[in-house]
Amino acid sequence: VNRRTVFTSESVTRGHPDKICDQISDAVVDGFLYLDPAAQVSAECAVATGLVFLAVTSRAAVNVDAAEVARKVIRDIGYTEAQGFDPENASVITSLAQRPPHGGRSLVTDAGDELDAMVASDQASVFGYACTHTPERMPLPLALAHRLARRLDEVRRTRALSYLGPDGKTLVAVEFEGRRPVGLHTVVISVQTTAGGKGPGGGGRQLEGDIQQAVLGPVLDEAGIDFGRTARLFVNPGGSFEVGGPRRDAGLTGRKNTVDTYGGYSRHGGGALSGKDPDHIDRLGAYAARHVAINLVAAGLCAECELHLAYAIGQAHPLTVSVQTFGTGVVPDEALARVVEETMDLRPAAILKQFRLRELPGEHEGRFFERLAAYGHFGRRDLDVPWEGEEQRREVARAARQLA
Amino acid sequence: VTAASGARAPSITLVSVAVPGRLRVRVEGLRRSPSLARRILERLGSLAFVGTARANPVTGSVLVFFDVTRMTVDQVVAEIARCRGAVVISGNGQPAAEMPASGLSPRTAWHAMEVETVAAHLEVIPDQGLTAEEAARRLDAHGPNALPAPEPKSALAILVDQVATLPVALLAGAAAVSLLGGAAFDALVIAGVVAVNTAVGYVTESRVERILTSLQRLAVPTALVRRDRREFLVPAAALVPGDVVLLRAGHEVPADGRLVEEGAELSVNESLLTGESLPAAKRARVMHPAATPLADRANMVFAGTVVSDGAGLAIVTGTGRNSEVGQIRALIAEAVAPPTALETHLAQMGRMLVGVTAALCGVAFGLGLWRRVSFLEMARTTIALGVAAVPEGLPAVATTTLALGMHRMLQRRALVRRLQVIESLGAATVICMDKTGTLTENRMTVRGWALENGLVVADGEGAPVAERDPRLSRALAIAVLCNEAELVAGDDGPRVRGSATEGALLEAARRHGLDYREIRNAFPLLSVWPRAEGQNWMATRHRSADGPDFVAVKGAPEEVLRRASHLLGPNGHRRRLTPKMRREILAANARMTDRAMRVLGLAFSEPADGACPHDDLVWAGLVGMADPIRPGVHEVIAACQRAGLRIIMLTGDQGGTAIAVGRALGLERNGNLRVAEATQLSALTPEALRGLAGEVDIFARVSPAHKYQIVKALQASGEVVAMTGDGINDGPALRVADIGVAMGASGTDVARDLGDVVLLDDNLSSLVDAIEQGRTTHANVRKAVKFLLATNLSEILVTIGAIALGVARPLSAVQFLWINLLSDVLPALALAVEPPERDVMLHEPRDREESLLSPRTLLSVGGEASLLAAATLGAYGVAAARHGIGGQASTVAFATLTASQLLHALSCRSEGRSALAGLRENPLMMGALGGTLGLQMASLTVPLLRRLLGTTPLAPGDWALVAAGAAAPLVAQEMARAARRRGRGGGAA
Repeated sequence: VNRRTVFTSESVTRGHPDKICDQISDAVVDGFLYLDPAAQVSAECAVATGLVFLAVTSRAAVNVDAAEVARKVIRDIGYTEAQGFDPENASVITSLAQRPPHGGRSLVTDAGDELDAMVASDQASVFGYACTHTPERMPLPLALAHRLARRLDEVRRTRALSYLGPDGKTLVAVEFEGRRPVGLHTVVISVQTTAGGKGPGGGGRQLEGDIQQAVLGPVLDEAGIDFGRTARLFVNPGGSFEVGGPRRDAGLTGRKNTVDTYGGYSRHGGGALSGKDPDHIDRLGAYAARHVAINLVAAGLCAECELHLAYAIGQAHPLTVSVQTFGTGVVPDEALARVVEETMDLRPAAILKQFRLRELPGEHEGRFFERLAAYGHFGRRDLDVPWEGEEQRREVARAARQLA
Repeated sequence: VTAASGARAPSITLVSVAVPGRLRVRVEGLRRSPSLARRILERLGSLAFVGTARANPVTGSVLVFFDVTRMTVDQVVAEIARCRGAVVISGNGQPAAEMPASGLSPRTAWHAMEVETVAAHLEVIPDQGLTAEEAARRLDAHGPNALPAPEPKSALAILVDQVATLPVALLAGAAAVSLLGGAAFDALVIAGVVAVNTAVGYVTESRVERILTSLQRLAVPTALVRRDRREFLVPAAALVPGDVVLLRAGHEVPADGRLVEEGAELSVNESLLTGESLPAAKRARVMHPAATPLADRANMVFAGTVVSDGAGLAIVTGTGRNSEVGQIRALIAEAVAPPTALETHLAQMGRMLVGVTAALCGVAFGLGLWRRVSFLEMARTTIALGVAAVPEGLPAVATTTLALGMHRMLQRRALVRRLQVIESLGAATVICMDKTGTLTENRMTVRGWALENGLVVADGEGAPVAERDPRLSRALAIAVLCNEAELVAGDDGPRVRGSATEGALLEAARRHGLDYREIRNAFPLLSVWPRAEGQNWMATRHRSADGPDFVAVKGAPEEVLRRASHLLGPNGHRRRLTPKMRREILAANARMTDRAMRVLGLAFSEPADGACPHDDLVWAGLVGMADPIRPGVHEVIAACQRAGLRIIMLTGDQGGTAIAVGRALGLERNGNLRVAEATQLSALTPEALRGLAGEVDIFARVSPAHKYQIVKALQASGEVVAMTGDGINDGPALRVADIGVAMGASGTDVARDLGDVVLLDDNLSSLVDAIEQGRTTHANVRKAVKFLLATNLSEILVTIGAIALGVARPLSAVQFLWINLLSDVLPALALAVEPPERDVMLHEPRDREESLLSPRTLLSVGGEASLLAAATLGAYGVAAARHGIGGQASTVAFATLTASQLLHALSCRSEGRSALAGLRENPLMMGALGGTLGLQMASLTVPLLRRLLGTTPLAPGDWALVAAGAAAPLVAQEMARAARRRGRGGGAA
């Protein structure tokens, strides 16, 4: 009686205007944490034609040249004057609010009792999700969309398809039977092409062929998925895509929440992830929730898990912990929620200490959060991110057995 | 048509296409728009198949020479049409005559050409130079390499300027009316006022001109030129395009030129042109795309800039008006100075007063006729009333006040060029400050060292070297070895030859008691790896007497650190660099940058034979240099902020330095600093720029044209903009700003020529004084105006009131003229010199658009006039009841009106304070009141005057009546004011 349905997720390339903003915001966060792990910072960014606006509020021992960071990110993404967004000559407007640092209050110490001292500074309702669609335990439509977006950037950078521009979007529709993916339905790829008739831009046949061969083919092969007879591919269905990036659309930090999380397959919290230091509970909590979900799935307690945590201002422990396994759980969802509460310390300070989020930029030469700001914050097997770790799967499995 | 060309499809009028490859079109919007001219030229200049092009903002036409085999006329027209702002014209079809070379002649992209191409183009062989005959011929064709100097103002011109003003015209008109009204005495007094004003203005302005002239540089610049294979020293004015000039360190570049070859480390300080305070390195063999901005053209040198280091050879490409400096001058010529607020207001008020007075006199005349006063009698009175009621003292008051302000400013070493500037200063809402040279001293000094992993061990002023740490000695040694600057003896202490940064390092070594020559002798130089594109560090290899060679490296901290593997510990031993140490070093770098320093990393190696000499470096530390903030600037900024003025810093510097300087200066508003790093402001829409200008505290990486655009954008959003500057590049912005403020001591002639205010000793605090002066002047003019209006209106009200009440007109025509004489000029002048009120620099600037007479002011003036009239009519009524209507009662009214008017001057001294507060600070007021009251007494007692004015002797009771009537308005207003003050005090408590 499993009804056949189609679910669609999208992703964007690094050069998408909203993603440029996310990456700039997180690069600023990285810059501060690299030099001062105790820094508190939030960075919001907006881009438009030839213009970057960056609002940075910081409480740190040092300052970061935010405008230079922005130019570096734009340069890094691959924008040049020819792409209509010149990193060297774009006007960068920064609004910098500086508060005096307060000496490592949020730095986590080893003294266990102090974990209660750090409380949620804001209220937040966060979600974490994991499933068995893919090895990285992400929903298949989003996982494929991300891989395609990443591949688009790769073939542009390696100049395999040198005529591609940095801006692009991918969309993957997957057919499901119940909650089980059974085949590809549609793939849409829109990608900027360089102007001037040199490349086969404008959605012509050669572009479609190139994309099929250099982008879609390798991604499907790697994922072990057959394109199928009924699936359809659209390349630049909107027609010529020569003007792209901020010249075409303005961008804003935090506009790609669905892309950053689970592609809409699961719920996600309202707060954006990028541009916030890890003290921000909406960011910290989202990572913790994913970590819990992935461990429950890895422990074999369920095939699919959506965890919901609610934090309230002034409280260290989450107000509520609830688990939804969509009927795949080996024990009832309520029991799993109890397992989580018993095995996982979800106080902000404990998460910070476990994930070492404030130290990570320092250990990654100042580029940690920035990399998360493209191709999703979850399922990132390419980066060694702590919330993807399944090291607590035995612990939760044991706790579940004891409870049962 | 692409999307970029916008919705309006332009069709440009073809004027001349007769010659193939030569096209002349008329473009609407081009006239009076040098910026569009530039855009068109830039666009055309970037096209491969366009030879030369001219866009003339005077005639509005564009002349293009292009390759007909590669481009069609339509294509060229389409290119022009794509330029933003180019709109079509409906044309006259006649072919124009050959266009005269405009100020904005075609800009050949010399920087995009190989040296050989440039030489061929200009028909010169670099090794030989031009021949003397050819040079002479070209000098004839191109004119001398000099900018047309502005003529000093002649004495007559100054005099005419003083006389031909609206205030004087008003005065003359009043004198004429007085003469017609039969009041020769009045006319004489007015003429005297005109004479005094003109004299004061003339003396002040000629002094200003004299000082300005003396500021102009008298030295004639020279140039070393190669002609006929020999090198000559010639006046710079004799240079022509194609000349081969030798560039010498410390000398000005005499003309624009394309570099042919350069000695080691040729660098040129272009801050006057680009605003960048660090010298730019110059390389002959570098090639640039045509669209490269001025500041980045490494293969070009520009007139007016100064060679800070090295030597070189260049082919002159632009002289005189065709140099970049000349272009800026052309831009300046296009900038139109806005009318000042006072001119607008005086004109406005003049019109209004004439109308109102005429109307009120008409009412009085009509009333009189209705009351059956004889026609002739009424006509005489009405004319006298008219003369009395027009405040002829007003223009005199305004000019005198401004002239006095100008004079006071000169005593504080701030030269104010035009009277009206003082008044504009009082309305200023925004001050744009050019960083380099205005806020900072344009002088690099070492301010800090961070040795080892970020430990700051020494500040700028350190202890002698022997007592210090070996790490600092090592860092200093690297700093002077990897360094091509020299200290040479100058007039006042050692002078740096070379780049400012390297000079600062030598200076630091000297301060630490080290002789850099000794160190350089001990470690002879073997080889140099200079900085290069994409490599922000340099290295030098030196022979060491005891051991392996010594390699010194200095450069951008991140890049040098990346090449280092160890660091130098406290006792000179080496430790391996850990990621943590690297981070600490970069954090120290960030902290130093935060303190507005330019930071360099220092490292060394002692490479074994064959090893790469600049890998595996030993990190020696960071050194930070800063361009010190001028003393007193903080106070100036704080004072301006208290006064509600917004400060905007404009700088060619990079964002990081600019932000740190901005923080150091306290430019944050509500803890928030808004910075725009804009290299292409022209890409923004005017609306976006206006929005930006309204928000941003710092504009970084701006070019001269941007400063102009920023000032314009601010003005478009209704701000009254003062702009400070010192460089050639500031010229256009200084000119277009409401108040251009030039640095007199260190600034350039261009800046001095264009400043409305010239700070003779570069002291910005005189700017604050000037603003205070401006505000006070405006407040005082307002006080005087209110006084004049209230008193003159009271005369009309007394007449109308008396006639309306059915009593005979109380005052005669002669009495009106007498009152006019006493109360119109002297008390108003005394009000005009009132010292500043204490809170004048503590409130927001006034709205420039706000008229001197707001409806509220008019209302209060009406109230005061009614008060004065009521007191007079009251006294008149009482006297009439006692003595009957006649001479006695009229005399009481006459005396009461005059005395109450004179005392009203005290009320006008302030709107909030008591009328008597601080009276001693204004002796003129006391003198004026004493004198005029004395004269009034005389008019009642001296027989001759009594006869003239037709007054009768007063009884003691009448005297008391006059005193009570005169004092009543003053007392009433004082009581109301005290009540208001109490109310406000109570509200605050």
